[in-house]
Amino acid sequence: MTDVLAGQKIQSATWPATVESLDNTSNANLTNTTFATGTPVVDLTFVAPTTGRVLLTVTAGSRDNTGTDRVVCTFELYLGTSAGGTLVIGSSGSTLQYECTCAGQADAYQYVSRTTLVDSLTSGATYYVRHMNKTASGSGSADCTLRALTVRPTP
Amino acid sequence: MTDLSAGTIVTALDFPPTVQANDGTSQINISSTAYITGSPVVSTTFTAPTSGRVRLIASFVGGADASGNRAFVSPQVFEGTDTTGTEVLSPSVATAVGSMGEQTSSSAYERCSFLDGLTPGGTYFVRVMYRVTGGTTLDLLYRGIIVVPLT
Repeated sequence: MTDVLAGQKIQSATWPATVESLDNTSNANLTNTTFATGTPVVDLTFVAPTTGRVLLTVTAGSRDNTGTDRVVCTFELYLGTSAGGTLVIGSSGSTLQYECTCAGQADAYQYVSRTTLVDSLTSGATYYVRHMNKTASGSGSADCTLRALTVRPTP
Repeated sequence: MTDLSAGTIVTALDFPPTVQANDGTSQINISSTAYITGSPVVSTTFTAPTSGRVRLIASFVGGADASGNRAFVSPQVFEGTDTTGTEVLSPSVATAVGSMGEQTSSSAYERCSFLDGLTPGGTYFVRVMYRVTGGTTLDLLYRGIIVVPLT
């Protein structure tokens, strides 16, 4: 990765396109307490910029009908074009840095985002990221109506 | 501060690196109604871009054991490399992200704010501050800050 240097001209590799994937299919009555992809899978591929840094935003609209459980969303990042690639950031460990959640008391849909700076990416390489969700207690009353991922190259 | 005009060649100051700082050390039963740093301090330095404008993204994961009180997490910015420089941004609800008073479980929060009037090329120090509205039921499980140079 290379910082944007004095005197250089902008190249296409410096600022690849910002990309987003969004779906508003209802995923209702969730029971999984370990992260899963949801239906359909919300995913995208992106090209790492010259700097090797991107801002990755996870968005979700979720609720719990009984106001007790909550939906937790995060992402998984792979080097390559699918989840068959090399895992870069997973969801099996702590996701406190990456996750977005609705409040446990939210019985109406709450829409939130969470942004992470992902760095040390290989300039020009293609990466795959997918949206993951789980519930805190698996009550079966939590719903997720909107899931989105945005990846923006950053200096 | 200078806007980026068409045809200009990139200079190093136009796009200094985006930086972040974060920590997952739990801050349990926090009670300060005045802004404090917590331990460890979550902080970093950044370089102001040519435009003099940056986006601050403050975030935390946390919640309360009982309803009624809220946590606020807000950035504080100084000129220089530590808090001995001139304060240019005070922590306040103008830039803070806040929890919901009715919640009794943990949740993740994030807020973007805009800071301009910075000196291009200047070094600044940003740290994450927090306070509560009252009580001793609030916990912070994670605190973070991202500084993004803007055009």
